[in-house]
Amino acid sequence: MEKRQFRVLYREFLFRMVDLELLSAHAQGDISKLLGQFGALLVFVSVLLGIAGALSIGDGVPGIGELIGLWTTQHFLVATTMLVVGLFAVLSWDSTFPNRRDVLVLAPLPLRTRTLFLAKIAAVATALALTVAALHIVAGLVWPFAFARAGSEGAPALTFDAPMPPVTAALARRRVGGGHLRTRSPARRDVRNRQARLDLRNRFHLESFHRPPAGANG
Amino acid sequence: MLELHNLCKRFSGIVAVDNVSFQAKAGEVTGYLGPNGSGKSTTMKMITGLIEATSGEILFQGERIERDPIAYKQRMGYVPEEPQLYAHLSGLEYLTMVGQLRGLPDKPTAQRIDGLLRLLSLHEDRHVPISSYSKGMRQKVLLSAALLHNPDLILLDEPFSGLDVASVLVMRSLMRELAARGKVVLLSSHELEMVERVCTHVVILHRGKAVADDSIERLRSLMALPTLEDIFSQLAVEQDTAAVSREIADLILT
Repeated sequence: MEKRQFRVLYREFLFRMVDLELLSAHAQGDISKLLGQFGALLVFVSVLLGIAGALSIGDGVPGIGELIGLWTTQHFLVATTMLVVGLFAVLSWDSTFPNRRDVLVLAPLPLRTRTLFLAKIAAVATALALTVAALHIVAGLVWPFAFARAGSEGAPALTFDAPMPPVTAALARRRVGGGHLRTRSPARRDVRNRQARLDLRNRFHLESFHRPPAGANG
Repeated sequence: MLELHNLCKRFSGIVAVDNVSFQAKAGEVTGYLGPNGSGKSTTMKMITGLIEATSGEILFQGERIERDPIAYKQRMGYVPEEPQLYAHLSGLEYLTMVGQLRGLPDKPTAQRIDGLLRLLSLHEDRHVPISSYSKGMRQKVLLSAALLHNPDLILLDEPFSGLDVASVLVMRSLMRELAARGKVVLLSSHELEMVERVCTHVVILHRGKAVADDSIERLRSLMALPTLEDIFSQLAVEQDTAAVSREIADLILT
């Protein structure tokens, strides 16, 4: 019986997670429509972000400007997720805990407090997960391909922040690498770009080299 | 049988219910009367288990209600004073939800809900959200929810508020019918005429204390008063009602 009660309460709490009056003063109980509109709005934002991601997918290793752009986007996506979670918390704050109406409606029924509490927690967690999923449903599929361009070293925000290499070693590598980059062939330009990116990382103390540039050991 | 023994409730030092004891027997409709703030609703909430008593005990069929509150609530139906419902649900959805939470089987419950909605003239509006129901319609939904599981104990806190005349007459007969079929019915109300017509036994509360606990007939003969209203005025009304009404009229006409 408790499982059935949990299911019924979970569905009830999930569908009235967001206070209707906050979404619309004229809402007449049509929660499914309003939640659908809210979800559609998030998916629309996701589609816009996905289009931006699709446009930035290209061949070859990106240059410094593009790389900075990718990092910024990555941080933007993380910040947007946090913003949506924050907005969700504000909208659903009243529904997070049982209110006076819940007490008056549910207290005379043969329910355990544990069931009520678990149903509330599960509904909040599901609604939050669905909100984040709706926001990233398109962007979450497209952007990884754009980030993959940044090379096999991985994007700094998502990698372990390794200790910085000694400055002398970095300078030595720069000297060795720079000595081989006199000509203007595309392959050498790529190597030069890679070298520049590594320098940028060192400057901002982001992370150490994973791999030395081609020719550094030779 | 429902028994209250020396029941007390204090809210931060203020005594709301003071040593109240009475019994509500199966086969009887017991009226619970009192002026505003006398402690009626507080007592009802303690009987339903919504709030805990400061001291004293409540027994149903000889068992303390807090011993197994889940089993007790399965045998109790409650119509609260305030019509609090999930307004975004329709009447049908709300009653189905209550049935599911009470662990009732789906098919017979659906038939019972359908029957209740038909008999209480809610069938046409069964798919309409409760937010657009009138107060009387909400009261009918609450009554249906309280009776859905065939309870042994029925607690009614001001059940007639907002009901039209026809529904009040149905409710009155229903209470008598349920009592005749062996249910314990406790009715808290301000409507003395209604209580006098429906109840066989009354408890009158004044400032948290039970000042009368007897059958209406016996109270009439003991106090040599013809109506329940006279008995109530004698026991629980302190002010000169005619003088107060004259003063109000004077105040608004000057």
